[in-house]
Formats: sequence, structure tokens, C-alpha cells
Amino acid sequence: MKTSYIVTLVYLLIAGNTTYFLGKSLYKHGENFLMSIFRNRLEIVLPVNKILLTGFYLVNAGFVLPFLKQNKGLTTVGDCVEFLAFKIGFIYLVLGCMHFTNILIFVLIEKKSNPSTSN
Amino acid sequence: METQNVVPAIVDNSLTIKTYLIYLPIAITMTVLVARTLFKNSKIFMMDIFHGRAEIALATNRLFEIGFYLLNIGAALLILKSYRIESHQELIEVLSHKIGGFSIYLGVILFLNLLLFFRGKRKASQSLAQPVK
Repeated sequence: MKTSYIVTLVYLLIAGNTTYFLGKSLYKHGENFLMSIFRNRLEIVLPVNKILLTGFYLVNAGFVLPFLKQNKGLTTVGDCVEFLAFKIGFIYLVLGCMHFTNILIFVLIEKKSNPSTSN
Repeated sequence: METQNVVPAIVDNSLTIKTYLIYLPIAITMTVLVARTLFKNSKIFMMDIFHGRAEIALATNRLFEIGFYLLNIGAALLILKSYRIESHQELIEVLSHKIGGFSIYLGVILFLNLLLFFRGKRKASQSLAQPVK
């Protein structure tokens, strides 16, 4: 019983930190794209960026939190490490795919919004 | 009749954990090294793809790097599980199998990335109507 709490805690710590830093970096670098899309109008860029960040956190929380369920009892240290590795590895893969989709969307919208600068 | 107390085979986990402890740092170091080399040299491609707009090129480069880390560390963690390691010989065999597999995977991903960069560069230069000074 005790180990399952610890494992849950470690999982939440790692997943939470990953989500937080991923969101922060998307926020920071996405601003360049938004500036280009909205023609440097800062009063639109900042709120849109904030809203996108909030949406990102919500989607990630909705994915990460239900995923922490442990189906079998974890008795040994090896079990715990394997469980954590599987869960964390899986959410990293999914987050990575989502991340690349995000970049693709940014690049496509940016290309569409100013075709004049591309040539 | 004598009832024999059957002792369940105690699974000694220490070798398995030793494998994990060796495997994880090696896999993560490999990922970091590959990512750093790839994305240090990809800036020039990005600059070409985005026609020299530095802020967008660098932002995309950084975001790609983060995505690369996520995917590869995720893959490394997913293949971590190993079954019933009973001797040091098995430990070395399992480790080399895992690390070899992960190296090949990393190499394939690296070349896919390179292909992506070359393709993007070609497309960008095709869409270029007049040469940029």
C-alpha cells in the first residue's frame, strides 16, 4: 500500500514537471510564431498565447491524471521501476507526438498568414 | 507422508535493478548527445527553410529539439522492462541487446530527421521565386 503511494507521487512529480516545462517552452517559442501571424500586435498575441497555454495544460492534465491507475500491486523495487518507466515512457511518446503536431500547426498557420515573406 | 514445504523460488531482483541502473544513464546520455549534435547543425537548415527569418527558425529548432527528447526518452523508457535476469552473463546480454536496439532506433530517427531537413530545404528553395540576397 505504501509503495503505491510513493509510485503515484513520483509519477505525478515527473509528469507534472514535464508538462509544466513543455508548456513553458511552447509558450516562449510560440510567441515568435504568434507575433508573425498577428503582425506584431502585442495586445492580441499575449492573450492568445495565454489561452493556448491554459488549453495545453488542461489537455495534458486530462491525459496524465487518468493514466496513473495501477492495475496490479507493486511489491518490489523492480516492479515500481518498470511501472514508472512504462507510464512515463508512454506519456513522453504521446506528449512528443502532440508537440510535433503543435509545431506543424504553428508552421502551417504562419506560412498561410504571410505568404509574401516566404519569397 | 511427509509434507514438503515447497519454497517458492525467490526472484532476486538486484540484478534486474542493476541492469536498469546501467541502462537508463547510457540511453539518456546517448539521446542527449545525438540531440545536441543534430540540433546544433540543423540551425543552418532551419534558416534556409524559413528564408533567413532567424527568430522563427530558432524557435522551430528549439521546439523540434524538445520533441526529439520526448520521443526518444519515451522510447528508451518503454523498452526498459527485462525479465528474470539470473546471472551476470545474462545481464550483459540483455544490456547489449537493449542498447544495441536503441542505438539502431536512434540512428534511424537521426536519418529520418536529416531527410526531413533536406526535403524542407529543397521545398523552400523551390518556392523561392527570386533569389534572396
